[in-house]
Amino acid sequence: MEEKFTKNKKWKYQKIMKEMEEIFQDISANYSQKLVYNLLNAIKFNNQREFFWEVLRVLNTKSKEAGKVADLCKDIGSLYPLSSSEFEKVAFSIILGIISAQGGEQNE
Amino acid sequence: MKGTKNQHPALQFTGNWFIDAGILGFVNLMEEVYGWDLEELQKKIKENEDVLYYWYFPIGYICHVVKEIQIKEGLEKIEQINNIIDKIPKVPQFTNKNDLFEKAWKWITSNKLLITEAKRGKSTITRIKINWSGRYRILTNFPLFQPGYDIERQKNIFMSLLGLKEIEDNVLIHIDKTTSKFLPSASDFLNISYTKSCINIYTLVSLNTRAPVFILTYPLAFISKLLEYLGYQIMFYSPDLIFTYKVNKKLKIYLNKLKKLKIYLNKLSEEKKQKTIFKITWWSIIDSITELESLWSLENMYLIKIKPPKGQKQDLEMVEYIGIPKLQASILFEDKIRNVLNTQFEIGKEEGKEEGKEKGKDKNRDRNRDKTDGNKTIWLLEEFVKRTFVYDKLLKHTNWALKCGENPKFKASLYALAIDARIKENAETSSKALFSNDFFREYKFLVDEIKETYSLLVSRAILISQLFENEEEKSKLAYPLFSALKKKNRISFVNTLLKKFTELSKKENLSSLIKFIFENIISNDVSWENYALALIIGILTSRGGENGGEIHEE
Repeated sequence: MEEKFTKNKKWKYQKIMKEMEEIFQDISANYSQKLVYNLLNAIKFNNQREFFWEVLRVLNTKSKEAGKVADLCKDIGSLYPLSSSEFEKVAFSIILGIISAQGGEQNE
Repeated sequence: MKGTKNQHPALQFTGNWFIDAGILGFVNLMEEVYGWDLEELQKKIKENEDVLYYWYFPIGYICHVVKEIQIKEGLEKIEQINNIIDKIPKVPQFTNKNDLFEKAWKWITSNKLLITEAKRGKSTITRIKINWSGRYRILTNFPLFQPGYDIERQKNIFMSLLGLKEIEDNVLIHIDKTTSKFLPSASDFLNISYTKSCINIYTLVSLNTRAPVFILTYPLAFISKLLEYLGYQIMFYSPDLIFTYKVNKKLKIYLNKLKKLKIYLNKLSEEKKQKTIFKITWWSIIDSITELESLWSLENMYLIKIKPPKGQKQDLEMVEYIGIPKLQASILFEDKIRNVLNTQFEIGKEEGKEEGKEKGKDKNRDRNRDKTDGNKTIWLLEEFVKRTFVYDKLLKHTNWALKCGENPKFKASLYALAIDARIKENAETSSKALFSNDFFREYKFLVDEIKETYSLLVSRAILISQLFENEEEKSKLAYPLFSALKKKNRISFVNTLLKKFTELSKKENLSSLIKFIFENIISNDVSWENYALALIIGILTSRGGENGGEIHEE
């Protein structure tokens, strides 16, 4: 039961990462780097408020991807409330999604 | 037993290590007295069991005990007993087993060298000349060896042990310290306030009908002569007789070689002695695995080490059981894994009190040491078998590589990390029952998983090393990553790594690494350190170093 629950959560983190990657496909390298830096610093101090403030602020500008952003917010919301260990996982999934978007762009 | 050529061998282990030690001791006795190896002995028992147990065994046993006494009395005495052993007659005509034993006893009592006269108070008694000498020292107080018992009483005890008479002696019925020095004495059985020891001779007989005989021979299972100067005896035990017999034989050969090479163990520190014995045990096991591949039982194995009593004492000074469990044995069965684990690792200087003391005394000498001098090395196989988490040792090895600018051992490190990770993950997810399905499937799935994990670690370690061109940059990155890992700070580790990723100009293959980090470091609370360390090893291995980069794909 516990294993199933963990696997289910892992699948959700994976989904969040994938959604972030898709939403941030067209972000510039410089902006991405700055954003990742800010987010990493927020994780470092376990500052959930600052982290999500920054994420939601950027997501709010993605009006073209409104559908995907809504899905992502729903997925993040379903995990609430987050323990510090869960926050760590969600936050890194979000950041890895942003970096993946950059990596993918370079590969293409 | 699985893989055994002979489906019903005459002698086979019971799973009770004490009786099994007696069986091995019985085999050793017959080999030492008559020169029959295990195979020959099995044949002879199959041909005629009675002849073995009622003729050859009583004569051989008594001659052997007397020989142990004579050894202390000089060469001449040894020759005398050897002459008697050489003249042991072939089996006479007999009508039944009692008749055969009577004839054996008659032959024994007709040899003056095997008989002695002893004063007991005002009278003199005649008795078989046996006492707890040499290897039989461990049988102190056992009725057969009691100095006050005359020849008739000794005969009765021998007959009852052979099953020719009802056992009358209480000491032989309720097994306690008198019979096995591994047990407490009857009065010390704490949980049994209203009865004697629960272990009685009938329990042992139900495991093996010859169990009473094997009580007499268990001291001979231990290797003692070659380790005499260390004061202890060892015995390798697995639940398979052939395997145990072969490994113990190999052990003797290696110990003999050590002696011949004049690497005397007693000159070594206690820690090194332990290590040397452990190592040669493993050489013997590995040799035997190769030779007896089809017989390799993959069962639990133990190294039993004892210090026999000294002087007037009756208690064993030390008993140590070093277990080698089935999980580890299953993994070691794989040639490739075994070979990789059979590697020495530098782990740098030990941090501890002793070093601290030495430092104070010998600061200048320490300063003059070159970078590898005085470094402690570990044998990976030993750590693995001892069930210490190999990860901790690999962390030390990486620390050493980082400090000395050396390359860590790439292949062996990653294999060991993969094994360690899979064992941790398996322990977390598998059933907690002792005899789970995995136990009976011999953990074969685990070996496949280890190989898969190893391939993953190798490919990702190579990928990360290719991301950085500048050697200095690699070293600069390795330090904070290692520091974070040492503190088990996952956030700091991933943070440092991701910041570096965002600064990279070339981002090819980054997605594979990101997937790896997500799957194995972020989402993995059980063994994330293993995967993280693999990345550090990848970064470090490609640096120059004395041995050059040893990175290569399988």
